[in-house]
Amino acid sequence: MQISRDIATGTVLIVAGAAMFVGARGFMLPAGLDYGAGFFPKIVSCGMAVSGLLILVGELRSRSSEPLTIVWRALRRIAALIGMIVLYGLAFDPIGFHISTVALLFAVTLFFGGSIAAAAILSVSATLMLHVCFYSVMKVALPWGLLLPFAW
Amino acid sequence: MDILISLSDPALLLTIVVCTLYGSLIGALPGLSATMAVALLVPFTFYMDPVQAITAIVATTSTAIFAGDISGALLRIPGTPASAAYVADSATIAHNGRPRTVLFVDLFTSAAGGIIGVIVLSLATPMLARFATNFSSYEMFWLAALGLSCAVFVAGASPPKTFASLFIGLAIACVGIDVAVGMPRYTFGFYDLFDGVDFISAMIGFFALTELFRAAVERDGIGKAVLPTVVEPVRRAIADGWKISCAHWKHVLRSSPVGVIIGVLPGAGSDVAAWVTYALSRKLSKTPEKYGNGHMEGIIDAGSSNNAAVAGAWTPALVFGIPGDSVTAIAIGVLMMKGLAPGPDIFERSGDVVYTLFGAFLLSNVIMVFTGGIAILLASQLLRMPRRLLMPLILGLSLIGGFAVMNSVFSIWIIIALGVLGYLMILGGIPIAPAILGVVLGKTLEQNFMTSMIKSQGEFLPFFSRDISMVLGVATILIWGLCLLQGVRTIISPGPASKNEENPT
Repeated sequence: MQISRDIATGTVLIVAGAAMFVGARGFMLPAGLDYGAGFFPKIVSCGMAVSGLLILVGELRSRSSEPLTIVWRALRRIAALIGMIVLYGLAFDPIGFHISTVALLFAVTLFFGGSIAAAAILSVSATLMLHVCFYSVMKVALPWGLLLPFAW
Repeated sequence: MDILISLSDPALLLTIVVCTLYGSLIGALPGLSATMAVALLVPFTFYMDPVQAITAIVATTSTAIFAGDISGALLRIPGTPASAAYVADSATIAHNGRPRTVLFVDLFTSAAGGIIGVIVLSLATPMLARFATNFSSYEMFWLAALGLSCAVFVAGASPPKTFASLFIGLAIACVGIDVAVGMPRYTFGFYDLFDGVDFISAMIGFFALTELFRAAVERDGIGKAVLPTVVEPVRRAIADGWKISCAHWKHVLRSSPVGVIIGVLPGAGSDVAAWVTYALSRKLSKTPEKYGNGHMEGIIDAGSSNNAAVAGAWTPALVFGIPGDSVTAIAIGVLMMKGLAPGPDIFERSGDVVYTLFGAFLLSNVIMVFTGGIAILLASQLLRMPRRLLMPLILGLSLIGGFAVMNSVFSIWIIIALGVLGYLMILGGIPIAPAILGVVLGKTLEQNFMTSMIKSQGEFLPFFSRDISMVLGVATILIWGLCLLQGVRTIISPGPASKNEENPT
């Protein structure tokens, strides 16, 4: 059975709204007040669930949105890109900005169809440009990691 | 005469030129805001005289707000939050082969908005400041609520989807320490989330990462092309840009004063000014259906007002020492450091400095036309770059830009999380722009709502007890009522899906 895009969207919003509401109920009230940290999130969660409900009802009445189709190849490519960024995030502090950025840019250039030579030139030159722009000019504390003995 | 001599000082002119170039660079880089540009400038102001220091801040801010449009149009990634409102329009026009034209329109109208802002600032500073101080938490709450209503007019999607996006943005704004009682919410034990979701990282995730995901899919021939490929000749772009700007002078004239007034209000600023005027523009337009699909009107209205708001924010800063936005908060510090304590008597105490500052504001907006033009020409060369090389550059710039704001790897996790969320929203036909508005206004809305509730001991009637709050409250409720009605109508008699739902931004 195929589900339509709007039915999936509406359902996800209702579930997310409900989860947020349950989370908001866990925020304790301060002494002497009838409303606390959970008051505003409860309003927001109700709004989210109601929006989801309206999308769902609208779709059930009109049946106008296209069916939800999962293109596995597209999903794999996005997952691969996310994987590269996650690895970059994990390596950023211990290995350092320079090595991890060169590696990320090299991999992403190949991912988008660049040649090995282009990937090598771009990753090194872009990392140097980012170093000058953010580290040297703007004084952002980019970690040196393994290259700390060579820091300049 | 003394003021003219001060303004013609070569050192001051050089400061303006250098700072407008610097502002163009920072503003055009995704993830780096005008506030950050000014914060980075502060150490240099130690070595400048007071006028030069304040001029540097003014020149940087004005240009950075404009330059945010450059990456917005060329890469569909707003350089500063103030450009987020009309990024769909400017990117669509750029995509249709007129990237330089839309940027020159932006540049000319931004400069005009900035100049109108300075004129209003110099004529009405004390009056505007008095008006701003009449705003209590009730008025600020209604103003934020009214600002959120703009989402309905900004997005082209159906009302339920627009509201869904808005509530997603508000939910993101709920993360962090609660403003009323100081309890951590939805932080899952991560200390980095105690301060809330960083807005710049959120914007990078929502705009930059979703764009990369689209490009990744497109690489396989599954999606559509995401970047413009045609660049028009410079002369034609300048001539067309000038012609279009002149043809829409009424839009600049009506939106710039609105931008100044919004800029004057503490906590509001260029971002809110852009959203409100874009929504107003769409509401007043004869062709509202074109908004979001590459229409110049919204860009001109919002682009001129966000630069006018830069001037407006200086009003309460100079007269009361109340910052209109984060840039003026830093500027107040610089003013005090230079022995110019803001206050109602600043015109008597340091009249020369203040009027020289106004003159510098004016000059910055004029010089911005030239330096901004250079920035457009340099940045549009990016489009000649093959996409397989451009995409990695955007990714590197976005990740390091996000890191620079938080100084923590946690920004990368926020970017990934919101990038995935943004992409899912696009797949679900939910527009992204209202979510950004929710993130921008969420904290202000909640803070003023909770303060008002505590003041009124849980009663809603005091929300309408003051003149301005009553007007704002009734206007907001009327707009909400109309939106609700429209939403119910959409469900009762569903029409064809909106064009924007095919490619929501």
